[in-house]
Amino acid sequence: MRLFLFIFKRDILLAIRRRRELANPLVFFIMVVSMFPLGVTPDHAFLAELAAGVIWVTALLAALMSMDNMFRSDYDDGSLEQLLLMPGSKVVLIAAKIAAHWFSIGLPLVIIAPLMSFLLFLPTQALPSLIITLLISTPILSLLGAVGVALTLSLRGGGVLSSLLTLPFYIPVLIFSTMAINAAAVNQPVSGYYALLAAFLIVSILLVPFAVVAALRVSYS
Amino acid sequence: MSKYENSNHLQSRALQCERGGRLLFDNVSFELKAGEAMLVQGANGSGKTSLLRILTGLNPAIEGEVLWNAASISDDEHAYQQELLFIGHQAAIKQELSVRENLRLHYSLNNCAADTMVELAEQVGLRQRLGVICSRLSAGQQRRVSLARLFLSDQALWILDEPLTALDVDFIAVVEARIQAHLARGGMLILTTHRSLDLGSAKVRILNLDNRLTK
Repeated sequence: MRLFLFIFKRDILLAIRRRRELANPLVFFIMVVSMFPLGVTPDHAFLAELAAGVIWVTALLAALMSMDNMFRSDYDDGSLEQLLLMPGSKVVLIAAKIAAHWFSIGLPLVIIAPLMSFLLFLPTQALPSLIITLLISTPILSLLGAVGVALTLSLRGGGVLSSLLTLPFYIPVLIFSTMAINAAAVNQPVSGYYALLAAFLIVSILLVPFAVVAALRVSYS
Repeated sequence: MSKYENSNHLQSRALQCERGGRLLFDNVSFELKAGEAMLVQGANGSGKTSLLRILTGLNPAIEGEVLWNAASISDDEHAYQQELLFIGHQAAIKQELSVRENLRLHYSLNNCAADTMVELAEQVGLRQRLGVICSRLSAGQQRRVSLARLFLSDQALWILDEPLTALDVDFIAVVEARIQAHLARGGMLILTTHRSLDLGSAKVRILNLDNRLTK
């Protein structure tokens, strides 16, 4: 637990120092979503139908953009190997890094998304499900992204490859999340979708840190 | 419990290493006892860094094994790595953080309490620079921040990859003194360097990686 907090605090401090890098995906998210009403049509009914999909796709891409931050700079300056040599469990170390990543990218997305949903006239009854699906799913994005990044660390231009590796695993999350929001918009039951997403989250939390430790081993060999 | 034990020894058996499909060295065996130093020599690209990384357990060797106190390091990697201080040729300091914050990270890496921060900064000659962001420091000063870990370490085995790059003569003398003290206490040292380093009265073994290919 001490190790977890130490790594978490370290990564948050680094994220704060690198504000510009941190702001990039968020600015991207805001820009893309706000351009839809301008570029497509200002028609309320049409935008309302698109809203869930647009917000989710953009949030997903924004998260994907930020994945490389998780290990890249630590790998490049040699800090990552020092962290791996530290006393303490490597799985806890990785879990803390992923948690810090979600805290600095995922959580801001969850906070901004409801504001952006007004731009797209998302029906108000769908708003809670937008927030809930983002809350459950953005950690999944960070977790799955970590595996892709860890696997491609030692490759030059690994960013593109890790996106290609990760994207297919993001698709189910995208499908269930947008289905939940669309169901909520027409007052249909949504708990089934939440349960599926939550199950996905739990499985990733349990498996991903181990997978990342193994992937880093591959990257270092 | 002190980690410096006179019975400590490190041994490698028939290590083989490959990098990018090319065999770098083959059949590297050595033995190192408490209080001894080993200089790893070889031309650029002869696999010095790769060897050091294998010895830390960060990279696996294709063939052969490394034994710490007669047990393979892969059996209990975790326990072995606690005995070990590795400073790679990358400085492993965060450019965005100040000297003080980086030193604090060192403390946590070495599991020390942070009450001697000023003293430590004094030792590496950065007392006046504690609040400066590391990206503003010169290469030599950054190296000093990274080598500050030598002054915190109570690990028995030091593995240092080119620790002297970019350092000035004064600080090289400081590092020399620190290394000599470490060896005198029964510590062990594995080192690559292109500079000459005075290791005092300690027994120094030399491992040359040039022409190590048997085939």
